[in-house]
Parts: sequence; structure tokens; C-alpha cells
Amino acid sequence: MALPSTKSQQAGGARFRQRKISVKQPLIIYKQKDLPDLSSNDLEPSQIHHLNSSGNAAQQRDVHAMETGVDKNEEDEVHLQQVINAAQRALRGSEEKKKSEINEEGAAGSREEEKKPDVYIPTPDASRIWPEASKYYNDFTFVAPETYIKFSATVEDTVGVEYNMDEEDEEFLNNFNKDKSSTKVCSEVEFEIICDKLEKTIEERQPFLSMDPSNILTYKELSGFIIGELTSTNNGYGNGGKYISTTALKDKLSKELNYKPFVTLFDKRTENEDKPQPKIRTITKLFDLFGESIYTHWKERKISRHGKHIHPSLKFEDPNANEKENDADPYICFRRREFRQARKTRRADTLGAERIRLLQKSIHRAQELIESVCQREILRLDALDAEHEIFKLRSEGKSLKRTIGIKGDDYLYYSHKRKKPVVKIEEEPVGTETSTPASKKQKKNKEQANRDRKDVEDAATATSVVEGIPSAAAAAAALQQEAATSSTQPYVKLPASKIPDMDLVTVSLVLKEKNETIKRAVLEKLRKRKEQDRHFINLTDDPYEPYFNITTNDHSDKVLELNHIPYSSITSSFYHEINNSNYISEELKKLLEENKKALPGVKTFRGSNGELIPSKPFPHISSLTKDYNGESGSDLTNGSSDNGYIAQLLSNIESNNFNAYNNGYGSQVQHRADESQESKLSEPIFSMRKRVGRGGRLFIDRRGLFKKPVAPLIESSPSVTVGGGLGGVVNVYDSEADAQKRLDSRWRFDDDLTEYERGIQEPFSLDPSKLNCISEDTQSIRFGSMLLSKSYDLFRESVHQRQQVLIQQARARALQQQQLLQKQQQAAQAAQNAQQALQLQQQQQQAQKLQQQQQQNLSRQSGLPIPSSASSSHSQSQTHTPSHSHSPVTIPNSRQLSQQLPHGQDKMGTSASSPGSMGNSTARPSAQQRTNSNPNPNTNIVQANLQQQQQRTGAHSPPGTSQQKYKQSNSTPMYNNSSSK
Amino acid sequence: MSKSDSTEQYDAVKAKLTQQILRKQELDAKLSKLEDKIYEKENEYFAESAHGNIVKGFDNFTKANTGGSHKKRIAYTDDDHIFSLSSASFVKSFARKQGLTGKNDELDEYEDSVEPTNGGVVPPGANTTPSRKRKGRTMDE
Repeated sequence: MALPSTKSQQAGGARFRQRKISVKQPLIIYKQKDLPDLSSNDLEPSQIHHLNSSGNAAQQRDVHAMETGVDKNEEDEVHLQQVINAAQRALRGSEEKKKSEINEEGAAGSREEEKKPDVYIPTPDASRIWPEASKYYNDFTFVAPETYIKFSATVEDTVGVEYNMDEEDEEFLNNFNKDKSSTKVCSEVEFEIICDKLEKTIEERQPFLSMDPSNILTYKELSGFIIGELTSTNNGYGNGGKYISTTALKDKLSKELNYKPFVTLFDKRTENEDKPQPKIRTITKLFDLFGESIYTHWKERKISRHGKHIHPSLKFEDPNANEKENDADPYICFRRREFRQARKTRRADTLGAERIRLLQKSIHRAQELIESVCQREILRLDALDAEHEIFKLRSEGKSLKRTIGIKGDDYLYYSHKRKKPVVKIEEEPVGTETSTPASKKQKKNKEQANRDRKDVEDAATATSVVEGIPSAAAAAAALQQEAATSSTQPYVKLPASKIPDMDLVTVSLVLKEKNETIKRAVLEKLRKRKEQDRHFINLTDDPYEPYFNITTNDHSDKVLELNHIPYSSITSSFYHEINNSNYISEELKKLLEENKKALPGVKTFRGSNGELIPSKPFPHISSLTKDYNGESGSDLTNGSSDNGYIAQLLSNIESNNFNAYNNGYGSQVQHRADESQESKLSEPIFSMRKRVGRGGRLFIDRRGLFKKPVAPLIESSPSVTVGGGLGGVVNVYDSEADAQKRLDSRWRFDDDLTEYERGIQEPFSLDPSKLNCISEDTQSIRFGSMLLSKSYDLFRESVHQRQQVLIQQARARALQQQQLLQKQQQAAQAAQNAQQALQLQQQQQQAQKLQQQQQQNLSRQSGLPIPSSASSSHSQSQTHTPSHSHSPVTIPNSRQLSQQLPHGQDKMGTSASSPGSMGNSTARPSAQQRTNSNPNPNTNIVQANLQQQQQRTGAHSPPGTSQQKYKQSNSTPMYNNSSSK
Repeated sequence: MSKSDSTEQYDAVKAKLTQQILRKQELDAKLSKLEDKIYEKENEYFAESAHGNIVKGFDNFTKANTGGSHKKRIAYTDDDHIFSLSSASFVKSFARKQGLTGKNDELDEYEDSVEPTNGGVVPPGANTTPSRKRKGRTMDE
């Protein structure tokens, strides 16, 4: 952000920079007096400042305001100042001119213009051409490269020997070479080499020679150093990091590499290589030849130069000297300026450079490619020319052949079929294909197929993407092989440009593959499952396949317990599976065939009166069952079919014999079983079972084949006695019975008996969980279900008992109620009697007594107590009080209630109904009898009760309402009872 | 023109023809080799120019590609092979390599050679010009 103004002002020499106007920056307001005279409107303020440089106020800022375009410390440069002042003058002059223009009309203008060119900043003249340049820079072998020249070598590295001859040297050399044979002439280069060597060595050996030049080393010493150094360079790279001149380095390298004319890229090449270059002799040889004489010359010069370099060199700043000294020395060149931090190369810079490099590389490659394309085209042209030539030659040859009549050599005149060109394997795996005719044909076929398929797909998906793009089709065809091997292709729709990457697959193929994948997966799963279940044997039955033993069908007659058959689905499937599956018994067959009798158990409604009559035989039923009858007759020779379950059932229906449902089915089956045992299925001769025992031992169990030898049990009664009449004790070893026993024991656990046979032999096993005569496979299920049914029975029984108890209780309560009711009625009667006696003693005493007596007499005579009481109360209510009008209703009510009780019980169980009703009926007369027999002793008590109740309900309430309440209260628990049950 | 003369001439022509055919073969071989090389080079060039090339342009060079992770790979189609596929003969051989036969592909099955085909057995109807060739000629012209 912008610096505060104070700081910028403090910066002293720092130049003003144009800053953005910001809120933080206070803006200086210039007043009229601050500003110079703005007489010239066309000038910028800065220029005006500049113009007023002579003015005292603006003087300081003047420097800042003006942009000179040079460094700050160079603004004071003489020429620059001159120019600036001249400009000022010129501007002022123009002002004056403006003023004078009015007076003098431009006469002074010409004068001003004449002044102008006087001052200028001198610049070196670069306009002239040096005509002799080619004379000295005559390396014409140099060819400017296409790209920029990259160069990192210093000038010193490239110019060869650093020593340059001057006029004095030239004079000396000319004199030196004057009277010498051509071989002994020292060339200029050689002279320079020697001088350079001397200079370098003396600099090294006597760096402070300038202090006392007369003390210079003698030739012997110097040459000794030089030669020694040259010879010593052999061992190691030496010189202790000392500077080695380029020539020395070259010498060294040429020595080491044993490569003589050691010319680097930077060495000047001669214009004409054919010209024998005057050979430069080695330093040692040169020193031998001219060393001493040149040394003297060189020494002279060195001393005359006060021990400094003969060849003038640039003077640089002395880093050891202080700054002032350096500044004062005018001969120092390339002075250091203010230290400026070197700009760090940033990533962006390197990136750019990298990009440029890449670009260059890319273009180079493209160029290469284009070049090779050009080559290709040239080759192609050559090939076409050759072909043309061939054509011409052929036509010529042919005409010649015809004229001469030569035969043969035909092969030269036409193209031959290509001989199996071995096509290189491409990046794509398709490349293995060869373009032999056979494969071509295949390819064609494939393509045809491909095209067909494509057509189909196009029709199906209504996309025309595949057509028209040869490259796409090509790729598709190329990938055909791949597609055949690949498992599943992604099923996608793509824009036309992207289709070639994949093969198109039909939906059916995809589905088929999917199906197969699923199948494979399932199989794999199964296989894995099998692996897991290894060494496990599944002993559980398939629950959906009931146990069905065909071989034991003929044992049905031997099964001991048959009563349970109709109830057990398991046994029914066990015994009657054959029969109840589409089997028609002989009888039924006959019946159907005869087609005269009505089908048993099938009845129809007669239309006239809705009476059920046996249905008439269907005339077409036999034809319907004909095929089946024939089949069944031939197929099932099994005699036991007669006693099939269905047949039995049908016959039972026919004869209206429903015993089977009560007594079980078995008994009926047994009757017939004996009769119709014509054929039996043989049992399997023997069966084997493999099982893995403990420790991985393999057992093979055998069943059948061996039978327990049925030894005739000749239990000898008297004949076996051994030892005469000795006590009659039979010897153990002689006893046949014992032997039999032992034999039996041997077979005890190893019999081949089937479940049934064993069941027959031992109907009652010791195993409590084992049900008799039932296969072991379902044993546990049966046992479980047996337990269940048993517990259910128990439960039922207990429920029944509980019901009975409840019914009893309810009955007892009902009885009590009835008794109570009767008591109440009697009490009411008594109370009425009392009241009546009190109220109507005078009027009706006699009549009432008579009536009562008559009533009682009547009831006794009829034996029906309730009507009597009802009539009595009725008569009373009719005669006396209107409040008593409802009393006759109560009694029928109570009866209804009493009758309701058994009705409610009916819902629970019918069995309870009859005794309930009976109890009710019996209980009532007894109660009635009681009430009737001794009404008088009870009246007092009832009265007392009534009084108490009246007190409770309210003394003013009439007795009738209290009675009603009483009844109601009584009735509710009864309902409760019934509902609770 | 004597017979011996013309025979001599014929022999010369024959020798020349043989030579020319051999030269043609050599040229063809060279050409196909060069074409293959160009194709190879071109592919290499495409593969190595991540930022662009002379075919696709150098636009990406100027873009500051800071997030180098999602560098889009430039997709090249056959149309981009401007160097290799600018040769008709290479297009043909290229198609053949890709297992594709063109319309006039049968013509490419034939080439000139100095040895008699079929192991020296003179092809049937050797006296007459094979119809095949005639067909080829017409197509060539």
C-alpha cells in the first residue's frame, strides 16, 4: 500500500512516485502563491516547476519533479545539465518569443533556433563502417546456426594466447628472424606463446616485481620453472588449484588424451584447411630454440614497464584498498555500483523457461518428422519413376518378344501375388493376423458378419452412428477378436466419434453371458458350500418330501397299530401314497366300466322337489377313464391296491360305513389285506452304507444278504437230558436252548431286519422316546408331536374341569339367588299382610284372610308355587296400591334369569347345559316347597331385613322400589358370573 | 532388324527390367520402412508432447498449469496422424495391419518380382497374359 507521506518525504533522495489517491494519504493543497506563475496554460505543472528551477521555493522539489531518465547520481553530469539548462532557456525563450511575437513578428525565432544545436550529450558514433574488418575477421567457415548461439566461454578462453604483440615486439622479431633459415624462424604466434609463458610464470613467481624490477629472475631460473611445470603436469592434475591458462590446459589435455591437434569448438579454424598451417612447436622446444634471446627482449621491456605487465591490462577496483582510494583512482574501470540484490529466479520464471525449452524440442521433432516426410515423398517419387520405367521396359520387352517370338520369362511381365508378407506385430493385439488369403477370407467373413450384426443393431437401436466412419468400422473389426475372448462388454451408448474403442454387442449375447455368469456363480457357490460341508452328513429329512418307503408297502398288514392311520398325515403318506395318487381300484374300475350303477356316494338333486337321489351314471365317464383304466390294469399288478385308502374310502362311502372315522382305518384294511396278497415287491437283496467312523476309519455297513439263521428251535424236552437221571440238570454246553440264546445274542445288535420287522419282533421297545413300529427317520418328530398332543389333551382336560367347576359355582349361586328371591317375595307378602292388616283391619280383614287362605290352598293343590305367589301379589297390587303394579313382572323376570344361566352355560359347552337346567329345575321346587311349607317362621326375619333396607334407601321410599333395587342388585352378580365364564 | 539383334536387344531389355524391378523392390522396402518409422516417430511425438504439439497447437504452453494432477490427455485420432497417414501407400498398409480390407485391396496383393512364383512352376496359361494383370493395368491407368 501507499506509504505515509511523511515517510516518503523522509526518504530524502527517493524520487516521487505517482501514487494512487487514497483515503489514508493526505493530499497537499497548493495555494495560488505556492504555485509559480501559470501564465502559460499549455504547460504541465511539473514542467512549470522545472521552469522555475531558478526560483528559490521550488528549487528543492525541482529535482524530483523532473524526469531525466538517468540515475540519480548521474543527474549532475555536465552534458546533461547543459542540455537541461538549454531546454529551460529555450522554453523561456519561447515565452519571451510569445511576448516578442507581438512586437517583433518572429524575427527573434530564427536566432533562437540557431542556438539550439550547441549543446548535446555526446554519444559514440556508431554510424561508420570499418572497411578493414574482413581483413582481420576472416573466419568464413563459421556458419550462423538456426538458433541463438549459446555460449558460456569467456573471451579469454577463446582468443588463444593472452599476449599480443605490439610494434616493439614486431620490430624485435623481424630483426631476430632476419638472418635465419625458414625452419629456425620464430613465428609471431610462437613469439606470443613464449612471451605469454614468461609473463605468466613471472607473475606467479614474483608477484611484487613492480617493487624492484631489477630483481627479476634469470632466464635459467625461469625456464627451469617453466619446463619443470610442464613436465610435472604429467603426474596429477596438480597446480594446487592455480589458474591454468587455456593453452596450458589444451596442452595438458592433448598430452593426456594423446590426441594431437587439439582443437576445440572455440578455436579459430583456418580459412583454408588445405594450406599447410605453420606448425606450432611445443613450448619446451620453443624455449630451447628462442628462449634466451626472447627472454632478454622481454626482460628489457619488463624493466622498462617497471615490472608491470608488458601488455596493458585493465585496472579494476582493488578490493583491499579503501573506498576513497578506489574512487579517487581515475583508471579504474567497471566500478561497482550500488549493491543491487540479484533477482531470485522464481518458479514462474523457470516454468516459462521450461516451456520454451519444451516448445523448442517439440518444434525440432516436428521438423524431423517433416524432413522424413519429405524423404518419404522423394522415395515415393523414385518408386513411381521406377514403376514407370518398369512399365516402359515391359512394353518394350513385350513388343520385342512378339517380334522375335521368344517364350518364357513371363513372370517378369506381370505382378505376382504377394508372398505372405510377415506383418509386424503392432501395439494392438490384433496384429497377429496375417494377410494370407485364408485369413483374408476369414476376415472378410468376419467383416460380413460384423456388418450384418451392425445392420441388425442399427435397425434395433435406430442409430446410424456406426455407418460412414471407416476408421470406426476398422477399429471395430480389429477389435473383433478381442471381443470374442473378453468376458463382458460394457453396454453403453456413445457419440459417434467415440464408438471405435469398443465392439458392439447384441442384447441376446449380453443376456446369455449374464445368464451364464449367474449360473457359474451359483455353481461356484454350491461347490464352496460342498467344500464347507465336507465330512458332514445330513440326517434330516427333507420336510417337503414325506418319508415314503415303497418296499415296505406290503408290510402294511403287519403293522400292529393301525388305528391311527386316518389321523396321521405321515402314516397316510406312508401307507397310501401309491393308492391315493391317481389310482382307481378294481371295484371302481369295474363300476366305471359297467357304467350302469350310479357312482357311490355321488348324489344329485332332483329337479322337481329338491330331493337327494343317487346320481345316474354318466355315459361318458367310462370313455374318459378308459385310457387310465387300461393303464392301471397293466401297470399296477400290485395286489395291495385293493385295500388302498381311496378304495376303502369309496367303499365305505358306498356302504355308508363310517366306522373308520371312529375306530380307525386299520382294522378295515386288515380284513382285505390277507385276501389280496397276490404279488409283492421284493426287498432289496442287500444294501450298503458307507460311513466314516472315529479316527477317519471307514466303515461299510451291510444290510441284507445275510439272514439270521433260523435254527429250528428244538427245545428238547426229555431227549436232551444228559447224564441220565442225574437230577435232570442240563449241561450248559449241551443245551440247545442256550446255544440258541447265545446265537440270538450275537445277532442282537446286528440284524438286517427292517424297521417293521423289528417292530413286529419287539413291539415295545425300552426306549421311551421310541414309538413302536415307526421308522426312525420320523421318530423324533412323532415323539415331539406326541408330547404336544398329550400336553394338549391334558390342557383340554384341565380346561374342561375348570369349566365344570365354574359351572357348578354358577349353578350354586343361581340357586341361592332363587332362594333369596323367594324369600323376599314371601317377606314382601308378609309385610303386605302386616300393612294390610294394620290399614284395612276394619274393612277387609275377613275377606283378605279368606283370600289368602284360598290362595294357599290353591297353590298347594296345583303344586305350582310361582304362579300362585305371582297371582297372590298380582291380586294384591291390583286391588290395593298402584306402586305394586310392577311386582308381578319381577317373578317372570327372575325366572328368565334363572333360565338365562343355563343358556349362558350353553355357550361354554353343551355338556354342561343339561345338568345345569336340571339342577335349576330341581332346585326351584325345593325352594318353593320350603317357602310354602313354612312361611310363617320366616316372615319376621324378612321383615326385619326389609326394614333395614328401607332405612338404608330412605324411609320415605315405597317398599316396591326397594324390592326392585334388591332384585337388580341380585341380578348383576349373576350376569357377572356368566360372563366371567 | 535381324533376329539376333533383336534377341540381344531383348536380353538387354530383360536385364534392365530385372534390374529395375529389383530397384523398385528395394525402393518399396525402403519406403515402407520409412513410413513405419514415421508412424512410430509420430506416435512417440504425440506421446511425449504433453502440452501440445504442432498438430494440436501450442495453446497449453501459455497456460499456467499449476494443478498438474488433472492433466488432460490429448486424444489422437487417425486424422491427427498428418505425417504418417499423408501417404496413400501407408494408409493402405496401415489398414491391412489393422485387419481391414479396402475396396481395391486385391490390387495390393500383387507386386513385381524377378523370381517366378510358385517355386518356379509356370503359372497356368503362361503364354497368355493373365487376366488378373490386365485388370490391374486398367485400374492403374
